Amino acid sequence: MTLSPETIVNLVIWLVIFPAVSGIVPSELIKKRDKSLAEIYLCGLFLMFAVFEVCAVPCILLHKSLVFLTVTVMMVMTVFCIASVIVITYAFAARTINVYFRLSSFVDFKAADAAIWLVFGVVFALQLFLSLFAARSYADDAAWIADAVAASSGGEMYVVYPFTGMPGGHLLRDIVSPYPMFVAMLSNVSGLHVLIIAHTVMPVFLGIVSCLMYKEIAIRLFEGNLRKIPVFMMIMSMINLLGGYSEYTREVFQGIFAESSEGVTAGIFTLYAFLLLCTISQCCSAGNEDTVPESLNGLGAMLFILNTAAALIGTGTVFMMLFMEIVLIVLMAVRNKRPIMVLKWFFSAIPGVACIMFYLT
Amino acid sequence: MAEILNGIFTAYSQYSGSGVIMIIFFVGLVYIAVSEKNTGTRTILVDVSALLLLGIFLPPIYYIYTKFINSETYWQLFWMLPIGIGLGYVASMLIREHTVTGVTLVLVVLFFGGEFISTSIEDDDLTNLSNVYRMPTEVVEVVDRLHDISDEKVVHAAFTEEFLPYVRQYDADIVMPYGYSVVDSDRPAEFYLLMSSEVVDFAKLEQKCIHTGTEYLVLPSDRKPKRPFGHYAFRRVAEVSGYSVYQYAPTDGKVAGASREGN
Repeated sequence: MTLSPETIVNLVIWLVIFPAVSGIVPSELIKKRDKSLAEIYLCGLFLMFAVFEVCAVPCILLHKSLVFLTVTVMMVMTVFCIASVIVITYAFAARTINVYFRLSSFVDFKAADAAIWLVFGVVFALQLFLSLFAARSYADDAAWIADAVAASSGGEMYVVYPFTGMPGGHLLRDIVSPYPMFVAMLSNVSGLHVLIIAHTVMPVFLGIVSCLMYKEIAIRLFEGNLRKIPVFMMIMSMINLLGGYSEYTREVFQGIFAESSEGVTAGIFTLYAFLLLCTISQCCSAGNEDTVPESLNGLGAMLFILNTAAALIGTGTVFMMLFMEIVLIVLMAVRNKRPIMVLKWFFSAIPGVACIMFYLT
Repeated sequence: MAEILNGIFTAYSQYSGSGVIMIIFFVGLVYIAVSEKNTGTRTILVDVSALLLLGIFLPPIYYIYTKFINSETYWQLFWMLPIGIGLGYVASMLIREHTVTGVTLVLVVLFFGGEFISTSIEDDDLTNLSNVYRMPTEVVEVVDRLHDISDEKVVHAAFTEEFLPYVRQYDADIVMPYGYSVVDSDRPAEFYLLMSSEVVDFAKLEQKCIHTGTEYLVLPSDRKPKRPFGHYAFRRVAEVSGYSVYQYAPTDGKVAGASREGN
């Protein structure tokens, strides 16, 4: 198995370019200025997950092939990318680039900060290395990876029983959360075996994505006090390395089982939900509402996308997202005496509730 | 009710391990609650964490989750708590305000409260690896050899227990008469029991091969046949990584896969 330039280009298109470009559209709903590239990228990544979920479920139910699904997702993502180019063209016509993007991170950069960033870089590299070193085939992956391998090599999705390969249907609950098909799609477009995507590409990719999230969370928690951010990042990497106080921790699943649906939930979904809720919390804080650039309606739209994306992973993930969201939203609605927030949240929760209803049937 | 509470506390003890980190997290929350001026930060780290924790310990939530989602993964709900982020936030504040004390405290907490994530796993299912697929090497070698031997794209083969989780993760063109689910089954398939036996009864395996359409058997090389090997309709076609590959090759007209369409 060789890593060809074509493989790298295709992985870059799907894992970097599609999210980074298409993310401009949902990020525009959240705020019009001061956007960091990481914010845009994360919006696009979860948009891509949501698009995949929305396209995959009908494709599987209608017995379409994985190639058909891949082309459909690619077309939808391309439409979002074109829309993003249009949006950004209009945005630049109205504002300058340094207003549109938040490019102030490196202003007032001191030697001590550089040293801490360096330490963070070393610890983070160690974290990624450990993640790769520890990645291996796990007996409990037998079903979902076999489903992905079968779809990747045979083209049809969920038509054989994963453990044996005998013809057989799947439960609706599997079809509603087709994360294995996402991995199969990456395998097909890159030409790499599903196992290589799962055990080599995904741990590195998800590790980097979680790192972006920690930085965005730090920016919100420290209110832009940039000098505390590298310290926070360094400590988070150390916690991610030394978070094995039991075998059930978020850090263990993020580090060791990064590619599994539980690993994706632990590594990026809970973090992104926290990031969005942190932003909502800062928005709703006393005196902040007029000064922060984020729009609550836009954040609600992003919660809608997050809940749709969570359905791709599984009902447990959806349950967690809805649980986290309702706790904060009700708290904010009560504190700010704005019950309308709860009503608006119900719209955001629709994809998650629909997923659970499907699961129960 | 006692069962529900027991389930909740079991999930908590599964998640928290020795409990040191949770105690430090709670202390950290109190520190944030007392010292943090920013309402937004205090809300998301302290208030929301407290409410989430309360929710996780509520019996109705446990009941709903275990009844409708999953009865074995309730501990995953603790992932909602920003434990790492909360600790990281407190540590960053301490280090920036009291550098020496802060760094010392952080290092003490991390090294005594935590453990390397890779050493926390004690699971026999995690296998060693030496290939790009992160698979047991013998699985890769045996499956590759089966494809070399067989003329057909889809190979019907039966394996012993150690192969079951991995074969179809590596190659979906291997079709098996029973899969990994048989391992935890209350009534495992007879084919699987025959394959697991230390003394191999090839006569009964022949019947199973005819019935299920299985053409190849992969058995550890040290397994002994019940009768001298020449009596059976199998021939040993390969030796790979300590395993023997047997092909069902009848001379009396019986064909493996005669009932394959029926499977």
